[in-house]
Amino acid sequence: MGRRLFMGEFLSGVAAAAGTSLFSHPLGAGEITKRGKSVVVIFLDGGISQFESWDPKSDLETGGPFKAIPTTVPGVHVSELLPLTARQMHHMALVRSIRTDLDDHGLAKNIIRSGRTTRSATEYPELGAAVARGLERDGFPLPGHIRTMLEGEGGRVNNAAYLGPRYAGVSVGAQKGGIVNTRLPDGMTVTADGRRHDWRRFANERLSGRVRTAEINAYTQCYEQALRLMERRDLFDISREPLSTREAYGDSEFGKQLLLARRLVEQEVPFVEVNWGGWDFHHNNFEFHLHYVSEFDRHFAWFIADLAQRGLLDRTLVIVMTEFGRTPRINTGFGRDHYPKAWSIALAGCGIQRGAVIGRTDPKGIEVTDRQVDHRHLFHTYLRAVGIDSSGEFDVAGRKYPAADPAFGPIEELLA
Amino acid sequence: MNKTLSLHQDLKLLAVFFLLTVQFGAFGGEEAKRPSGSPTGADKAQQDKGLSVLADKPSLSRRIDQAVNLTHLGPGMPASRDEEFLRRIYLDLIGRGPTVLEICAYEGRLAASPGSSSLARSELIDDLLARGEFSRYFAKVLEVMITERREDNISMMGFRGWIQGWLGERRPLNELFLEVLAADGTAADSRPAAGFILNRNADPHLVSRDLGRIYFGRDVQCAQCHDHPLVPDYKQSEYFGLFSFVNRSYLFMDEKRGGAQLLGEKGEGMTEFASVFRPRDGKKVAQPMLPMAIAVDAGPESAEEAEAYLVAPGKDSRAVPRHSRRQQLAVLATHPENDCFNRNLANRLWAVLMGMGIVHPVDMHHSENPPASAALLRLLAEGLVDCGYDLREFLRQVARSDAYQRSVEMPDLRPWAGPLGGTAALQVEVAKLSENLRGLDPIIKSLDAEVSLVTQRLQGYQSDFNRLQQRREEARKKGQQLGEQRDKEKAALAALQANRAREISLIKALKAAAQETDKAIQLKSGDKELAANRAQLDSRIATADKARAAIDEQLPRQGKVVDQAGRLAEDQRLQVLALGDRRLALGEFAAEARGALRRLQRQRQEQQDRQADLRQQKERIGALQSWLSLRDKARTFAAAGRASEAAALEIQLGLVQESLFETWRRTFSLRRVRPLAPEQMAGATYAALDLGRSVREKALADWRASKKDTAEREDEGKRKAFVEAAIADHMWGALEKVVMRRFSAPAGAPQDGFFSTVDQALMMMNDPMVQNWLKASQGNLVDRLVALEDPDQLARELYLGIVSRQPDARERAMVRDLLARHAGERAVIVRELVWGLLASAEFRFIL
Repeated sequence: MGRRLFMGEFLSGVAAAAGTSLFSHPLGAGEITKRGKSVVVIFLDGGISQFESWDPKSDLETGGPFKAIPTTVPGVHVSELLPLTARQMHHMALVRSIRTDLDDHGLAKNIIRSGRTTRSATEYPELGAAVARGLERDGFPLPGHIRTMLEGEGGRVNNAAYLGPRYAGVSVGAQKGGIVNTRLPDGMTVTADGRRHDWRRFANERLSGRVRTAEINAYTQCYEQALRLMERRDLFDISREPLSTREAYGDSEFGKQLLLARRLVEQEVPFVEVNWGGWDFHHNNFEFHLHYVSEFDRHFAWFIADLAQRGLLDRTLVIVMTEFGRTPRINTGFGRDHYPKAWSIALAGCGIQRGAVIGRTDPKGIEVTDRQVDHRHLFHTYLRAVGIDSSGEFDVAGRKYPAADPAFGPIEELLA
Repeated sequence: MNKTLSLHQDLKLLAVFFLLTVQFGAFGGEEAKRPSGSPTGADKAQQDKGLSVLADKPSLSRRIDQAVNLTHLGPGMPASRDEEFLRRIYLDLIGRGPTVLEICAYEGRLAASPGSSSLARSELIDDLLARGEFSRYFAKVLEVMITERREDNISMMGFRGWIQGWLGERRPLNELFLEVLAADGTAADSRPAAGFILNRNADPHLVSRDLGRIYFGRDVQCAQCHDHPLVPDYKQSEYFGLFSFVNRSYLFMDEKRGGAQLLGEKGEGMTEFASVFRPRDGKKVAQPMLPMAIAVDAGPESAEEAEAYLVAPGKDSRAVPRHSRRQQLAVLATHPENDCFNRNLANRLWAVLMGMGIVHPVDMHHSENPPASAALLRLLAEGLVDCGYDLREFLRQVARSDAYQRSVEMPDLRPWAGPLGGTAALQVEVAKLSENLRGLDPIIKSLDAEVSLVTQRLQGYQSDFNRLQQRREEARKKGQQLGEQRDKEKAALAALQANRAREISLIKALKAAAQETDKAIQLKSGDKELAANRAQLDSRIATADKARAAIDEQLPRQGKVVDQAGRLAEDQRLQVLALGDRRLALGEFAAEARGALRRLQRQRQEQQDRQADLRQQKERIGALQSWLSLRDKARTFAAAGRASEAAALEIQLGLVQESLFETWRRTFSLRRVRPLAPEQMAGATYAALDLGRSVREKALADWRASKKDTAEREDEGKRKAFVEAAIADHMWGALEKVVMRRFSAPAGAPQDGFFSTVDQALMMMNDPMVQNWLKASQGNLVDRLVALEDPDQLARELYLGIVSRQPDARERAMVRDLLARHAGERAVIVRELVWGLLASAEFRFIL
């Protein structure tokens, strides 16, 4: 049977091969424009204060002690804790009018990550899974959805829901780590490994002479993909970077993971999430933000600048995500509490109107006064920014799932 | 078998006409439901009388084949080879491949009486269905189907164990599904049954959605916020119909039972919904109703809220309503009259054995996604009811069918002469199909009109009902206020009476004091202070007397007020009850309208089924026609010596042929290669490597030791069960748990998809656990293979053990060569051989 015939069957084959067939994929149109795009989410877990970052206020009662400073975009100001980021603002955009109404960390994270209003963490795929599916390319050897961590070999995370484990996050350590099971078993030589795979391929021959299906092809290809992944396991090792680069990214946990994220973006991995926990300052909000935001500023600004100078920013969407904002009211412990009623996120890079600021809050930062949006609009916007039709559907083994909440749409004026 | 189908091609076309005639001759009639079947060989005699005597109707497996053959327009399709069938049936019924011993026994059986393959297959099916391993494996299949691996409150093992017990007792499957909805988690023996709802944390939206998907094959979740944008059948009212049955049930944590989660159920509460797309249409009150207008009228509700309960809800008490909607649901959802349930369950069980539902995906039953063969689905649903929901009997019939036993190999179409009569006959056939389709249109249209009329009528009753319900609700609220007013007045009366008693006792005490004072004055006359005291006492007595008199005057008035308030409250209570009765009376007509609607919907379903079958047959003929005309063209070019044009057409022909094969797979005349389910993957790996050998021996020894002096010791059934349980435990710990996690979709997602991920391959390649499976120990496969001197014998054991077949000459040579070239590393090579076959596609898939 010739290759053409096989492709024919490939086309007619069951869609159950979950995405191996881009051709039958309803979101497959415009495949070429999606080539190589990536999304990097920097998740500031716990809830960064919008006052001490993207939406500073001079109000005496709610604004806090820090001033607003100008940025490279005329008329746009951010907190003085972000002096370096302010110089990258022409690569960025802000959304200052988010209202989500959930003030529990877990629940708020579910909705912001999935773009749906749900109480379950596993009912809908997270953004990473949707992006991995939407930007999937045939024969790409690396996982499409990666969560970085500092050390160790991670496994698969259950966050792809109905899209299936193929698009679930894989945890990868930035140092002394990588992906689990990418080293040969103890005592196995490279020769023996090659031999066993030759034998495995031989063992497949009789069957492939009789029947060919997209599923069988997907299965046998996974072993070849795994072998290619093992060959490239150095990609996950940031110590391969020149010393100067490592120094520029810094010695902190956050900096190292950003460096790994940059290495992965260079390899065109569709989705990378860098998670930074602990942003939950019910006490001493200002002292903590002084430390945390300053450190964020140093690494984040460098990351954006580095992506820009390497030409990666034009095909990479960076999202600074968090689950909610902090209260305008400053509590007795000089803290700010959870506040989902009016808060902000920042974006940079691909597919967005750079320098744009969407929406606004009142002078005290209590209410959204213009262009109110929520997690559902944002989710649509992220997908659209990297060229995924957010009003389309994902076909999973014949079941059709809307890519994003069908009753909502993207923030059009934020899109490039 | 190869011949019969093509020979009877013309008869088959006749049969299609015959079926159509029957369909029109008896509109909605009983006999019209039964396809006449295709006259293939042995079936012919039975088919001849098949329609005349219902009692004598052919077995379900025969009728399956008749329905499948009816749609098939190609040449005869070959049956599977014996070794393929053997592996397939073992995996499908007991979740593992056959052992080398079992293969040898089957081969022996075949050798002993040549030509009895078909009988031997039937015997093997019976044998497997009778095994304890069947109940154990199908408990997993049903657990995955029902809870979709959710484990929030009831463990996977608990739920599986409960189903296994149920299957062991051979109880009807619909009652199992009933129990799953009815259970509240209190009874120790049936607590796991509540897992369907408990493991979804009784979230009413989640439960409604999965009730629709898993019980009726209808994923109406998209209709939660508005009518489904893509599927016209899925209405928001259907979603809320399901929702109203389950939304009163809630999770109750019982401290007295160690914090166990149970199901409580409220006795009241209405749900209103509105479309997010058309909010101006206003809110509607949800009616508890299942698809096909299956519902109950609201029971007689009491006037007082407290009377709605057998056990009132409270912080420490699990509410039990007087009328439980969930109990009603359990019966209605699983009743043999419920066509949606029957069709869904038959389709899901079919998909378990065939790799794809007749309706696919299995939870998308609706008119835009018609069954591949509605006639087949219809007879399977009937067959399931006819056999009393006996799982074994149903699976037996499916497994005995030619459709189940067919080969996955694509036939060679080159020698095929094409259908009798050639394209001309097909042309005629298409014309007839079109004509029949045209004839169906007005019937369906008029049914649609009737359906919408009755629907309107029913909606009329429902809005009457809702209005009364609202009035009743308002009256009940007013009654509550009046009751409160009455209680207030009663309290006021009681307060007056208490005041009066207090005044009287005060007067008594004052008078006593006055007497004492008088006595003192007599002794000490002229004491001014005493005289003043006495005067003061008099005035206080006078005041108290006055107060008492005032109260006496007030009392009868307040008594009247109380009486009046009491009367008002009682009148209101009676009025609430009266309104309730009026509302109940409407049930008479609503029930009748629902019955009529159900009958109409059934008729429409039948006509829709026919329409779908005719349309699809037309499409299939179209596909065949284009293949035939391409082939003829290619032949003409070839005959004329125009080689390059012929070659170009051959390529095109190949593509068309692929889509032709796919239509045959879709209609089950060609089998589809299926991946192993995670449970089969674990079972097959464990059995292939023979990892349970030492466990079996140890369990047997344990049995003998523990039952030393008892009669039980000789009970073979119990001993077998004991050993099998020990092996199942060991398999779970040794690999099933890990394999399941790695190879299954996440909990809560549909579990019938196929996922091939890099991390699965990496695990097979490099995980120390897998390397451990490959260690030689105590007579396991690797151990046995290492001990075999003869490479050919080794190859045979290797292939039989892992892929249940003999190696071919090329494979034997390869094994020989590898062993010879690495004679010094024999053990290493054997492990690699075993690993390579385990990692092969032939092992990963079912042929």
